[in-house]
Amino acid sequence: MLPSPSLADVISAASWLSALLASCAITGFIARRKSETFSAWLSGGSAFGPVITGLALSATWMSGWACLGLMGVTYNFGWSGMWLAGVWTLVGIMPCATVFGPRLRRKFHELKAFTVPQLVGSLYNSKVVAATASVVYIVLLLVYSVGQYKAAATAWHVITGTPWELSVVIGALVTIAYMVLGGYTGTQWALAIQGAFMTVACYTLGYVALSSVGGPIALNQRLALQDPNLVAILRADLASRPNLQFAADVIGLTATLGLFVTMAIGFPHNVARFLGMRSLKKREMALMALVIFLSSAIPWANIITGLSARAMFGGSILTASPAKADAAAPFVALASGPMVSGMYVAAVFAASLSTLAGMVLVMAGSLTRDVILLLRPNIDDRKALLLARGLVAVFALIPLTWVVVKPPDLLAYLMSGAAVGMGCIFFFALAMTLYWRGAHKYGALACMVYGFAMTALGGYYVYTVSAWGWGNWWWATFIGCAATYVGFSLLGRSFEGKKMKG
Amino acid sequence: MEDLILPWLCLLGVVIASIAIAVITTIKSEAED
Repeated sequence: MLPSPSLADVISAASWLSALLASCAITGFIARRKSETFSAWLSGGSAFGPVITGLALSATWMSGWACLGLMGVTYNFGWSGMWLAGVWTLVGIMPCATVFGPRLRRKFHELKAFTVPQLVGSLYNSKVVAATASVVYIVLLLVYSVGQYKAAATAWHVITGTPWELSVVIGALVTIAYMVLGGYTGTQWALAIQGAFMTVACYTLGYVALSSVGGPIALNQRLALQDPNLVAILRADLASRPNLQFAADVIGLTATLGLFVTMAIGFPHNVARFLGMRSLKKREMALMALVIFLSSAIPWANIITGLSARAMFGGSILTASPAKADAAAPFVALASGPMVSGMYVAAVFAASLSTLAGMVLVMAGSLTRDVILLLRPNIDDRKALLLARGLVAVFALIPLTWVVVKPPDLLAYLMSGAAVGMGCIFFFALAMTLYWRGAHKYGALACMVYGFAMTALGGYYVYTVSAWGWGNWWWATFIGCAATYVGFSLLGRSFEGKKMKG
Repeated sequence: MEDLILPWLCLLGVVIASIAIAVITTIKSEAED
């Protein structure tokens, strides 16, 4: 029997959400005074320390997927879903923060870059690379941002009982209010508040959920009683469905590990956090690592919440809501009382808004800086700032229209598709180039073209007709990106060498 | 019974591996001395 929302749940959700928005609005207002030039708007400041940078990075890294979608995955598949459901979260984000982070920060400053695509272009001294990176990021981020709206709307819909369509509208209005209030500048402060918020809420929900099913062993006993496959760590019964390979075999499992390692550095909204970070000493780096460890480990709690939802409610959630399995965590929150349900709604909004804000800023800033200013270099700073602010509205509305017209079935599927593309491409075109002096712009361009094509093909052959195995597709994308990056870089170097001799 | 414990052991293994990676990458990071 699924719980129903009460008036207390509605009041609690509205109160928690108001508190979140108020704190973001205050920080947004403070930040706005500082954002009078285009460059300042893009960077949002450059003196943030380890705690704020760590929380902000966790907030952009933990999206609506992390706080809602991945509970849907473990609810749906049981323990075997944990491989895709963020169990590798820290294996990906820790090297990104501690190994790549300081080097990225230094490169941003050395190359005087204000956007991630600009940084990519500057690494190769090529505006064509910057413009191509900008286009690739924008297309893939648009897909990824659809999930943020869906996550916020789903949490609101289940916990307050508001009809689905109206929940989407409320989610959109909150997002627009947040953008207008200045939160879209993605200031590290606003992001840090959201990071702290969702950390507390998700750990609380995970603890309450596990307690209410009777603890770790009782959880698995209840799952096994429903279906022994739910406690299997790999499900052989899913082997006949290629799009579910991530839960079925070792190739799928290793691909999920690769996905998390590559997408941590592949997400531009993660990389952009190092633009505002100040130089850190060893002790400060350790503090940042600790903050990130605590706040980016929430998928572990969320995996347990999703499993607990399955133990509590059986498969009934799949047919109870238009959001299907994605409604798992909101139902657990609802069953945990108004205090937890309201806090959880605000946490999902925090996760969605922070990631959305980070992404919209990357898209609007980069299109202005790396494409429009490249084609029309005589646009002055004031006009560039206005243009970028206008584009924020455009980029916020496109995915919203998508959600209203055709909401994606399971959040994690859609978002992991875009994440595969961004991860595989920019793991090489950006991260490896920080270390490999032989990298050439031909290699970066070939890698972007190949990775982008594979993402599009995966959208059809994996997610639409389920003809390709998910893990095989990830490995083919990753290995192909590596081969094109290295191969075309060597070719480019060899052409240049011949030209010099000629 | 082993079937019920195995998933938890896997999760524990990932947690321990994550702690190890966090410690090693922080020590090896390029922060200022």
